[in-house]
Amino acid sequence: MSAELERLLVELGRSMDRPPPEMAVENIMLALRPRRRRWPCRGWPLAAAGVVLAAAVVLGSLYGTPSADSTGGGTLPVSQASAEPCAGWTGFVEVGHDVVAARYGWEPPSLMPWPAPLRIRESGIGPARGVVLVDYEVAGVPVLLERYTAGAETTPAPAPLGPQSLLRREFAAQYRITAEDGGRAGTGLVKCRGTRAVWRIGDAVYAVTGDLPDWTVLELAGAVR
Amino acid sequence: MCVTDDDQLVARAKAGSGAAYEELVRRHYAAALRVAWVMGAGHEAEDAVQDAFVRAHAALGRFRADAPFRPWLLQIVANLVRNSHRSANRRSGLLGRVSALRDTAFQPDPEVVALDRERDRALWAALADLPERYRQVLGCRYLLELSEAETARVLGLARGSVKSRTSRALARLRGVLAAQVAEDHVC
Repeated sequence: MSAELERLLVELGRSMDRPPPEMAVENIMLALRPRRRRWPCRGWPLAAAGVVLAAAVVLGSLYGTPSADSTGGGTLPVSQASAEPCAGWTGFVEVGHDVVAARYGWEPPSLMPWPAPLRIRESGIGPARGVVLVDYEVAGVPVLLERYTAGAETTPAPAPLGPQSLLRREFAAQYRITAEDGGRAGTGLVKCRGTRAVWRIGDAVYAVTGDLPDWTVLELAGAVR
Repeated sequence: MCVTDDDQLVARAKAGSGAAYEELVRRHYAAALRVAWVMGAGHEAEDAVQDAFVRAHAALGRFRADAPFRPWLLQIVANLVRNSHRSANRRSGLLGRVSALRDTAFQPDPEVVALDRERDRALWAALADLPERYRQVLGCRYLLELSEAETARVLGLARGSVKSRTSRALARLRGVLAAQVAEDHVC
């Protein structure tokens, strides 16, 4: 009896064996990336910034190159403008405003400071739960607005909007959303780049990501209803 | 096909090879996840495992070259889950601790663990009914197929305690299963 029970337990353990989700491996490897090297002394960053700024002013005045974006927030690298803020979404389909309105009773923002949405994608979990992704372009920079219905857990977790709760540079974002009956769940792990705010309004969780100044991200987030 | 053993991968990872560490992650992720479940991480098991791999990487410099990697990693997972329980328990008190253990702690992610067979589900339910100390030792010894020495290391017990606790846990599990069968017959 004991040997039989031991065998059943071993079989149970083996039946649970699954290869690791690709996104989980990526998330771990992303977290291991070396941090940017610090400047060796405090005076260097300011001095270096001064040199770069002076060079930009001289070149700008010589060649008349436009160097500031329409937000007045400084030059944005061209390579960033073409990159998606968050990559790795799977299982999403492009939908129209009407589908999102009917399904979730929500309208993606399209009034100032938001421009008109470029694309809306959706991944539903059950009748009224799911994730909506809305792509925008703000001052030439791709911006992604995510909306998670009730039943969603996100990592990083939502936090009150403010400069201290923003995520910056490169990071992984994860979600898990459970159907109303608790029987099914949708999960995802994406790699993001830029500045990201994650906050909650009622039952829904929102996130906005883009390579934009902090105040622009906060302004966009604050205008979501 | 060239199969590299853990020692070689660890040596290469220590020397800065990301590819070698990624291979270690792929090899041991499933076992690490099972340890997290066995220790009662519940729906936070995946987070605990990812955190453990990141911490293990940071601690590779202190890892002894002649020691096996897997039990060392699994010990980090177990400690992480244990520590997170301790902080949660300090916050929530006894009532919260009891309800957390009963309600969520031993619930694997249903999307990840598809226990298809009725027998497996019954066995899992019986394990969930065991006291934590028994569940952990059976989990390590059988679900993870760790040796007594490895189990002792992961759970922070003496080897003799693993042996005696395993024996008591098996007896207890048999009792729970017998009670389940009796209950099914009555119903």
